Amino acid sequence: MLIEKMMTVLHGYFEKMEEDGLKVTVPHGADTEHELSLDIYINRCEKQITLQTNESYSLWVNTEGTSTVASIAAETCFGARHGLETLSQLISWDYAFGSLIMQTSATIIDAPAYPHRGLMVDTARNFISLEKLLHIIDGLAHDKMNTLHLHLSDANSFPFDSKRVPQMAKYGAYSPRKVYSFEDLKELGEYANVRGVRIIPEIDAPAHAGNGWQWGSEYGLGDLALCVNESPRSQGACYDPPCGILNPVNNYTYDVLESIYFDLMQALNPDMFHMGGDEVRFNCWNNTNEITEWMTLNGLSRTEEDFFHLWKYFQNTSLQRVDNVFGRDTPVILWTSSLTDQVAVNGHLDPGRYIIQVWSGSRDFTIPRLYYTGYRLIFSNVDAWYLDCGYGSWVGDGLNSCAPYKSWQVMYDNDLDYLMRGFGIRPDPGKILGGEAAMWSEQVDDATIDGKIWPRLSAVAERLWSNLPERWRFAERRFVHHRERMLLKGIMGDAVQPLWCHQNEGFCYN
Amino acid sequence: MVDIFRGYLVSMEAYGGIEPTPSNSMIVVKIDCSQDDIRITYNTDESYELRITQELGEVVRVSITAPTAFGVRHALETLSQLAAWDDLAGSVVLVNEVFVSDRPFYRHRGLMVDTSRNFIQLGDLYRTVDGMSYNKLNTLHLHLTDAHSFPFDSPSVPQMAVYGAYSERKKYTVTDLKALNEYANTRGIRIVPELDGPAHSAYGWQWGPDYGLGDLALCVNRLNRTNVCIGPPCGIQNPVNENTYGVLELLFSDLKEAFSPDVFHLGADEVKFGCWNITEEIVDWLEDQGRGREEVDFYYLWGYYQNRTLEKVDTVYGNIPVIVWTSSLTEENFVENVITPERYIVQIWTESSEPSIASLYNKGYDLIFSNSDNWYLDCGYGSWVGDGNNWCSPYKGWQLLYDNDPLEILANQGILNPDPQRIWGGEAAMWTEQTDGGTLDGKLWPRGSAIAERLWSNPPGKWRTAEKRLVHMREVLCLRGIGADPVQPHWCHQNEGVCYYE
Repeated sequence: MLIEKMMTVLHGYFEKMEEDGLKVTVPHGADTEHELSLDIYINRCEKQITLQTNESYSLWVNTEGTSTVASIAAETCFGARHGLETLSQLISWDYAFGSLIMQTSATIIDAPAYPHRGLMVDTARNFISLEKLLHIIDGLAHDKMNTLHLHLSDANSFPFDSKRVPQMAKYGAYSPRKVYSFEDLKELGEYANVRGVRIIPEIDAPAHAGNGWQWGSEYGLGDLALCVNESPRSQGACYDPPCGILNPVNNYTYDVLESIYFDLMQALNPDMFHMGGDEVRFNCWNNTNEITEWMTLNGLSRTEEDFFHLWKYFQNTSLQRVDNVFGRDTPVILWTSSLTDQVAVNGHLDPGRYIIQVWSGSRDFTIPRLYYTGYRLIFSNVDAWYLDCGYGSWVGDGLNSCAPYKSWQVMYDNDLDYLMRGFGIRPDPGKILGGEAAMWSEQVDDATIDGKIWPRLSAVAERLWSNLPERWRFAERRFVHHRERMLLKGIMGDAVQPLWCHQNEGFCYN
Repeated sequence: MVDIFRGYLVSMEAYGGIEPTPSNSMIVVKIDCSQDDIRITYNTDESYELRITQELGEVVRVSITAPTAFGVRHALETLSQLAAWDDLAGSVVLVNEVFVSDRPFYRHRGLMVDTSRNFIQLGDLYRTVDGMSYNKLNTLHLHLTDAHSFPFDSPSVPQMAVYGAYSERKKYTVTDLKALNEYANTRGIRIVPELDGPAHSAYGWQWGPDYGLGDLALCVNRLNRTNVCIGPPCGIQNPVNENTYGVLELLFSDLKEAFSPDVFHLGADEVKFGCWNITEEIVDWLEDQGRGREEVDFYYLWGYYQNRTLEKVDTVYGNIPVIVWTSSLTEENFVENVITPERYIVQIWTESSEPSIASLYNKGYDLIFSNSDNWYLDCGYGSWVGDGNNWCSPYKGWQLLYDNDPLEILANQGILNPDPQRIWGGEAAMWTEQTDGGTLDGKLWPRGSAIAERLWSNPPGKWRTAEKRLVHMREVLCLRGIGADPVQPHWCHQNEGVCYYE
């Protein structure tokens, strides 16, 4: 039963707390046993989390004598899980007594402000091991985040070992050690579900695709992708190396996509699918005879508008394949791009079907345009919620492209209501789904990813769950303490202040 | 040292994860070393020659010649870089013909780690020493204490850690540090301890009145810091209390037990006079000396503190060189009377364009470079005391660390042919306001490798000439258990030289 599995996870927290605590203290304070018992009431245990899932819960803690009862009431198992998570925050190891201690009484009535609260992890620029992804899910659970969006593939690599199309990983994975098997993803999905986290797979297309797709000609399918690893890169063929873009006029391209989609559906059964769709540059298509000939045959010339037609053709055709696999009710996510900017004006991508993930800056006018066209939005605005910014450039001098580093304060203060009010909009309910912090991995992998995600993700998590009117100063002490709490749970987040500040709360200011 | 080298080969095979392909190849290593030095010092000759030749019959002969064991160590390190696990061969492979004649350009090649703002566990320090040895760095400067905490558990003055350590579990005993020192020495690394004073002192020093010794430190944790001190927390040693010097002497003595260093670091940075100015005891003392409360009078007091402290260093260590940071004391006109070039080496932390660098050189000082515009490892993150990013932002990428050339800095300030004896080298500084064990590796490495090559090879080229090798070095560090940060997508390692913007 799902709730039993969730309780086992909670037990694990306490066992670890006690185990670590006993390593350094000898119990001597408590001479009687104190009992904690748990009552959980769930209305209906949904099997998987969706946008409609009710994640609210109530938690009551009452103590009489040597017995404490914690009662949790929730609509769904996922709500109850959050209650268990909160309960675990009311318990800690006391070094003076040498035992676990907990709050004697509490009344908590809690519910998230947004239904989509997530982290995106890029597993293509640098590979992130399965063990590390499982570990990341632990961290998400502690922050009551409910979404792990896997940017599975990109031009650099294709680490997913698709059963139906084994050539993808054979041609696209960095090495045999850097691959996700079907079983790996299945394990990931199940592990995540018990911890209240959904997995959203993304196969970015048509751009951000290259390595993994080069085998078409060899297998008699023609070119599935173009300009792959092109060097030197022709004028403006792609943003970052390596180059690569899918061939939209080759029918086999869509067959391969559909097969990959199928494998992902079977492995993860996601409630949403991400099609990517960002940063398409037309130079490569413009320099490919097969494509320019197709365009002529279809009454198009070679203006920018014509290439947008081609891009829309690709999007609509691959959406049909998504429909074949996931059904037409599954919401599909696309990044903001020059295409979404265009259609916001011309209206070709169905707002009922597509959710747009906004990565532009928070003052970009594409946001009100998309809102007024009727799209639901997920925010990952680069000026606040990109986790990779601020390091040295990986393609030259200076700093990487979205510098400076986004501090936890900047992440905490990224208030989506405030952002929309800046455009004079009070969003209708259900239009702003929430957001994701984005961990692009050009400059991170297993070795350093914990410290780059945490503790900053906790700031995003509170913004999306509680959405308080206050700003970071109000949260500072709790944030610093939460970081320590996560350390004890094995999440190696970065330090944001000297430990002195944790021990002398409220004194670290200029 | 040979055992350590064997360990590298074992870990390569462990990475391979399969039973190595059996072969008849044999490697015979012959080591010729005239002096089995016991401790690494500034005078140690770290040079070596490494020759690999393959004979008929699959025998590979490796010959290492070095004046000292530390040179041999470096040769073994280089030898380990010429070997790797090969997935296709199913075994470790080794370059079979090579002649390397190598020596470091600078004799002080280091990392500084601050163990006070956040405590750094011993295990993390051990691993840092490992990482340094892989990069032929030879100096670990421990900024042991600061205002925030005093983690050194001094047997002679146990009150320091009782009042100053963050917790029972966040301190170093003499035994701990001695073991670390031995471990470091075997890996060719000396440890330079720093006890920063008179400023950067607060926690650990508050116990004076409780023990009838008067105030050893002043303004500790004072709330109103305006014009009094930097902090938080506030704090500065009491220079007019004899007991302060008594305590310092005991601390120096305990540190000698731990490290037997060949050079000592007294800190001496960022002294603000506001606290002394509002302390009656000090104002009275100045009056007794026939002095007032002008800046020049407080510089006099600082000089007095410095000289008394140096006396204590001499009592314990004899006349060893002493390092101090650049500060307003090293800028003032009378610096030469207190911080004399004969005894003191100055560690530069200002930006490389600061004219005080040339001025210090011209006054005769020996220099160690840690200029904050390129060699500070903590820059770029969010502020820990307010909005924005931290003070020395932006982040210094490995490219900046690599390109930072002390000789170029001096040349830019008009010093074209400095006496090489007087430019000791440099250190990358890991201040830990925002770092502790979990993220230390990623911030030290591979940027530490960039400064290591600058200091060992003093290469004529800039970072582009080193890019491929640095990216590869990062992989080597990871294979050896160092959590180094990736600087590029893995695709760039597999497709060398193509990751650039047109």
